[in-house]
Amino acid sequence: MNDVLTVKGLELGFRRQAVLRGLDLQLVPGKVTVLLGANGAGKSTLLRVLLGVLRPASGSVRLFGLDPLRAHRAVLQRVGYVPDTPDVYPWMKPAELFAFLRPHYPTWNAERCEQLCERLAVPLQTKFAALSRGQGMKVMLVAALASEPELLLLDEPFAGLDPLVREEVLQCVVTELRDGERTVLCATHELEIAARIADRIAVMHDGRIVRHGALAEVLGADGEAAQIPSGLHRLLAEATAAAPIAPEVAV
Amino acid sequence: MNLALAWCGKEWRAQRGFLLGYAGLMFATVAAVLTLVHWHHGFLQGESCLAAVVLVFSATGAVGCVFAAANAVRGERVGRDDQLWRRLPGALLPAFAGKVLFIALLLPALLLAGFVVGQIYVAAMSRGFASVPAIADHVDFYPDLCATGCSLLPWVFAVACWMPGARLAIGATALLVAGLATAVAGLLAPARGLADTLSGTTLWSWTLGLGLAVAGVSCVFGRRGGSHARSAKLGAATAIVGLVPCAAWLGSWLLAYWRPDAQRLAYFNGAGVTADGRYAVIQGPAQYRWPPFAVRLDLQTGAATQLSAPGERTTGSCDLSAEAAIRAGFAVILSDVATRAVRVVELASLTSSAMTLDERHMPVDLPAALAAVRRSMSPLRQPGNLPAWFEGGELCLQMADGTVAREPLVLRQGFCRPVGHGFVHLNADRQPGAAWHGYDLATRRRFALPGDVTSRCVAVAGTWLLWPQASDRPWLHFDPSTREKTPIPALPNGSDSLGLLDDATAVFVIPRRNQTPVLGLYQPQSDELVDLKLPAHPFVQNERWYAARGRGDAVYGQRDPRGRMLLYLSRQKPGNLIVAVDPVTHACKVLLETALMTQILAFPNADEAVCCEDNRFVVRYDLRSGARTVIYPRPDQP
Repeated sequence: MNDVLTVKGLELGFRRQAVLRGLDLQLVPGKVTVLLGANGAGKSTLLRVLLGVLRPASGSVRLFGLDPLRAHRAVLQRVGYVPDTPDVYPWMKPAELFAFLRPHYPTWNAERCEQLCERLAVPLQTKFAALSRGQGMKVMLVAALASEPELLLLDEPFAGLDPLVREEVLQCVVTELRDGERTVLCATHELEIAARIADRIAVMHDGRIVRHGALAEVLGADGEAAQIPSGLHRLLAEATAAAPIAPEVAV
Repeated sequence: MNLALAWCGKEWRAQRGFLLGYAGLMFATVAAVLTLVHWHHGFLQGESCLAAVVLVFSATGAVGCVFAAANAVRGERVGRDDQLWRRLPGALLPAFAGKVLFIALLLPALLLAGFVVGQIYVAAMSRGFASVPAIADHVDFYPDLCATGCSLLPWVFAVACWMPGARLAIGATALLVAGLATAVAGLLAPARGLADTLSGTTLWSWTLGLGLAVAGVSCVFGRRGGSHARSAKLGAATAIVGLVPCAAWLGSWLLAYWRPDAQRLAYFNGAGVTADGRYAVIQGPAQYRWPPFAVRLDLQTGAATQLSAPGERTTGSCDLSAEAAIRAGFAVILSDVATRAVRVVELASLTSSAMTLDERHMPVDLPAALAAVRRSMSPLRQPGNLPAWFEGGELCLQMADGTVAREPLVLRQGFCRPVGHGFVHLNADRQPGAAWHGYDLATRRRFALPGDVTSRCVAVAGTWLLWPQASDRPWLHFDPSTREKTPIPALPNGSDSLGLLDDATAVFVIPRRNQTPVLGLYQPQSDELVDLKLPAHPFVQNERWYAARGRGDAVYGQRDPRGRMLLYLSRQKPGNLIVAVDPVTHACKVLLETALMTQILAFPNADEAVCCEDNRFVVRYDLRSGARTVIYPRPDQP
């Protein structure tokens, strides 16, 4: 657990347009790191590289000390992932999805899966095509947590949810984080969310991590503020002031 | 394995709706179309037809696998890309295995479904089921086609991995296959017979194996950290690497076809021997289904040299036989049938020159040496064994005093054949019932042959003997001037001329029901048929033989150095008896008895004969002792 995630000099581009430009990042084990950045900053791209979905042009990525591309199975069996939109087959039902995912994860906990489904009121026998976005995200959250991953990657999990569902999902996430010793990397541009769950903040801009540290450290770095998009910094500061930070997740 | 089964099951759940819809729609459409055709043409009759209908349904079902193969990749795209199978831990390999397993199971399932629906259809339409043996006969007829079609399924999967969103995978596969097939067909098309030789089993198994490899690499390694572009790069690289040995294999066959080992012919025929006895020309293919080519054979050393490409054979015109040209030291090779372009190869030096041998505009502009051959060795013969030939739009006839008489004559059709002291050629006007014209070299008269006779006639010093087309009529005397036809009872239908023994006598072989034939000497002037007394030899007395003339188109038949006419008596089992007939005394003598079917190519001297034996050997016989020496293939060749 000492080296959950280490990224060094990561570069990646699409059609000659650079998205990640020498990104460095190291996660602190057992902590929740929120990856903050404006739309298009490269947050989702970074997570897809960590999952072995995208191949970096240069740099190194190590999860648990292993390259996710070379040791895909060994690495990804220890990683849970919640995408920004459900990336599963529309004809599939949640129950079928869980049955399908189960053999992929040796640590799959069917009982926990059942509990989570009950808690989030997941409709098990409805096809994804007929689920609402919120219901779909609940299923993805259950699917990610049921394998009891050591590293949980969340990619804008609360975006586009109505307030009730959003609160429900958020509460679930907060509870799960409180219960376990797992390391979390949550990409979001929602500062209120970040304020509620983050132990550490990594601010991403133009394909790089421009600030990374404990929440208080980042917010106190006025001298470096010029590197952070000014609007984001202001919003981040306002949100942090407005929302009390839960003692469990405070640095 | 567990994961592969999970992916296989997932694929079935993903595609079952499509497949059921496909099967229902396509089977209903095929049934409707067949019913409409049946109502208009009533074709649903007979075992073979019913079997074909069932196979149409089965094939329709099998085609569904093509769509399923493409859908297996396309179905992974959810939302903006196919992230799921790339992010699940180590899922690409079991996903590929599961999808291949699904397609492998689907193929027989759809075939069976088509079979069942087809049987139900034919039973509903015609009171019975199609028999399985009849269906198997149809499948046996196109086994390579069926196997190759099925072996293309992995390629559809592979190409689907290469295309953005797996779109247009089937069309792109069709384009790829058509492109490859065009390239291969372009290489194989000039090599007649080679495609049949190349084993279909090898081709389809190679297609299947390479397709699976390319699909596997495209999916498992291409999609690991990459999208369709990476799949395309890796898949194409794999395909190219895999095609290298395939291309090398094909190249080795093409090399063996176009540059065959002249020492190892599958079989051959002797075309002739040079007058000095140094070289023989033989023609045969390197393998049984391939076209023959010409080979120069050094009769002293047994060395064989390829003279022509496969399919190019020695040729000649009616006044320049291929054998006569070879005897003079030239091989005339027909290099283009359409344009009648030929190459003349000098056998001693192997130098060749191109020209056109156009029988429609005979004579041919030949090199001087070859023109001299035609003048002296033309198969067209007048009484007295005087040659006739075509030159400059004229028929030239050599007189007994050495002068040459010329007569304007241009034959406009491409076929002309010497028949005794005359020749026949196709009528230029193609008038019905009078397709053949004859020219009598004794009387220098051109006339139309009667319409009810064959072209296998014989002219003997101005008298024409005709073979009627009707099988119950004997040969006929024919007087070209009066066009009067007189039956010759002594020559029943089925008799055949073996050549002229002398200027007044034709040798005939006359069939006898359930007995060996009779050889007879027929003189048209006296209408007299005399039996030829064959030697008292066990072969003649004990065997059921049939007789044939010697090599070539010589009017006077093949002759030995003593001027005796050679007749070949052959039997069903291997071996023949070669008999020499003295033209003066009519005495027959056994020249050679062989254990294999033998044709004498030439006589290097009075006591030796070079023979083509069993289409496999060129041998030299000592006619005094019967000693046999194999010249080709060389004994040192395995």
